[in-house]
Amino acid sequence: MGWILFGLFFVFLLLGVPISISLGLAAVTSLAIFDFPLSMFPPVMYASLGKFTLLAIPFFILAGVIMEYAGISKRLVRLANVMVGHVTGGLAVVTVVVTCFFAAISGSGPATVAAIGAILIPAMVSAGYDKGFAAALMASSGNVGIVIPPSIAFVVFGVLAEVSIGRLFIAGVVPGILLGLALIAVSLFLLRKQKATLVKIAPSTWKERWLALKDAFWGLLTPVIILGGIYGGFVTPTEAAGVAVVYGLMVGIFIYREIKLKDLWKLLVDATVGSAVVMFIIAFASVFAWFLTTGHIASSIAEAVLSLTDNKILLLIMMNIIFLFAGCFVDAASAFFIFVPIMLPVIREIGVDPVAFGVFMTMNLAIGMATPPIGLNIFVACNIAQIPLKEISIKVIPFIIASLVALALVTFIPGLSLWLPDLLGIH
Amino acid sequence: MKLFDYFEELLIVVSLVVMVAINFGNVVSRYFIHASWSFSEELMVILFVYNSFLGASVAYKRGAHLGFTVLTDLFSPKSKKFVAYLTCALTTTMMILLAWFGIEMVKNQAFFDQRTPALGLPEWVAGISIPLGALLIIIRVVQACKKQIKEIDRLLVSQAVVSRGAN
Repeated sequence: MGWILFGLFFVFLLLGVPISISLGLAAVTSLAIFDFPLSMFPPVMYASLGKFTLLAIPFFILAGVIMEYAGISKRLVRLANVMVGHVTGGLAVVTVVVTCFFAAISGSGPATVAAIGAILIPAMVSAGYDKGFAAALMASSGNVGIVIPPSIAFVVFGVLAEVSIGRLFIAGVVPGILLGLALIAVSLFLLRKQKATLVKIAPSTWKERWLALKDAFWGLLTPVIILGGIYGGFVTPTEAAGVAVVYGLMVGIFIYREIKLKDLWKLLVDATVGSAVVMFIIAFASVFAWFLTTGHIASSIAEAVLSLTDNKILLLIMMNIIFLFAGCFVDAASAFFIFVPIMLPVIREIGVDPVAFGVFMTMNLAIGMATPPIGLNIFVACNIAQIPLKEISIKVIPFIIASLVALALVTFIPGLSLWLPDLLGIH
Repeated sequence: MKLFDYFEELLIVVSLVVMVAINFGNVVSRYFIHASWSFSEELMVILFVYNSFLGASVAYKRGAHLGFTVLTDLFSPKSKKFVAYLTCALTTTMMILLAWFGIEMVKNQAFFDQRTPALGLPEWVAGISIPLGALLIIIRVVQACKKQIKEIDRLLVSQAVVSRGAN
């Protein structure tokens, strides 16, 4: 059964059929072949879409689109730039920090690369940075955001694995920072060699810094409101996402005055399309996952995996390789629906905390998304920098290696993810 | 057709605005009037499912759905055309199945007079979003496929011109 299900999925996927439809057709065909009632699939689909928690997806995506239109991202870049822009490699630090910050709110890697990359890639190039380096750094940092809270990937994992989304969010903080630091370290190391070609930038005056800080203040407050709202116990993560939308609109319309009423239509439709692409995948992936479980495919694969070895370290390495590979082909939501039903029993058997599992699995998928030649972020960054895929593919290698080191630490030291939520008492 | 596009986007805008408004209203009323709206989650979820199907339909128009196209991008225009037809046929088949069994589900919901727990709305009001969404998407898939085939044909023609010029 498993062979037919996965075989069909791969054939459809390789033919360029959208991921959602590939998953759905593979599942429905398998249902028909093995005499399962086909009438079950629309109710399964509705049940998976109709979850209040998942409303966080359109809300966070909308909040991200609003931040861009409101000029919040622009102001964050300026603030970071006047603070550290004059240091050698300062712009690289700016890129990583601002991207983490922005992706933290919008919750989507490629959207962040598009929004921030459009500002920072040209800025880096005019400061004498190599184009390929700038694009590679941007593509790699776009992923860090999906590990730093709030994160759409964690919302999907939390719903699927039935673990607390609040705990997942906080568990992502330290690994996210670690990933960010790894990227900064590689950038500074690489830039040391090309110091001569970099344009010297005079440090900004304290007055300029103060003005930039004042200007970016309302934008800086966004994550404080989201995370403060959740962990202050005022709102659920989903409600917080909706509140961030209203807050962003207020700032954009009344304080920064950059959102015009006529923008609202386009803004709402764009955000809906972004969210619907994810939801459409979730809809069909849920049917796929339902068949995996009901057809006892998930449990038999899990047994097969455990019969190979029960060595925890070997199993963790194996999972990392599978997830990295998967991250290159499919988006995070589909990967969760395909692998969580299979791997969760394995994880329980070898005594790994499901929250720690969620964090390192998300990191894997994030790194996969920036891995050439198929990672989505790579394409977005290439488009902005106007360079061929080949150039970015070479330049991105050091960043991938650094990310893998961070990934290995997080996988084998569960304390890196679990320490902070335990310290804060979030379960 | 213009009106059809407008209508689709209008429903998206209205559903999303209402979702955001109910969510915010609920949070505000809980903290300032200490009253939670019991219907809020249910209504938001129903709107959300409609909003997702409408968005998926516009995503077909914009070619925004994620797929693995690295392999098929390497194909010759002729094979590309074949793959485009195949993808369209497969997607349409999936949507016809979804509409068909979705209608079955709606019929059951109506027959047993299932009601939503908080609002007491008939369950089929929410359920019918699935067959309606599937039918809407079929229209968009066929449109997108026609557009794609036209582009490939244009490519084939320009290639023919180039090769004739070279001879």
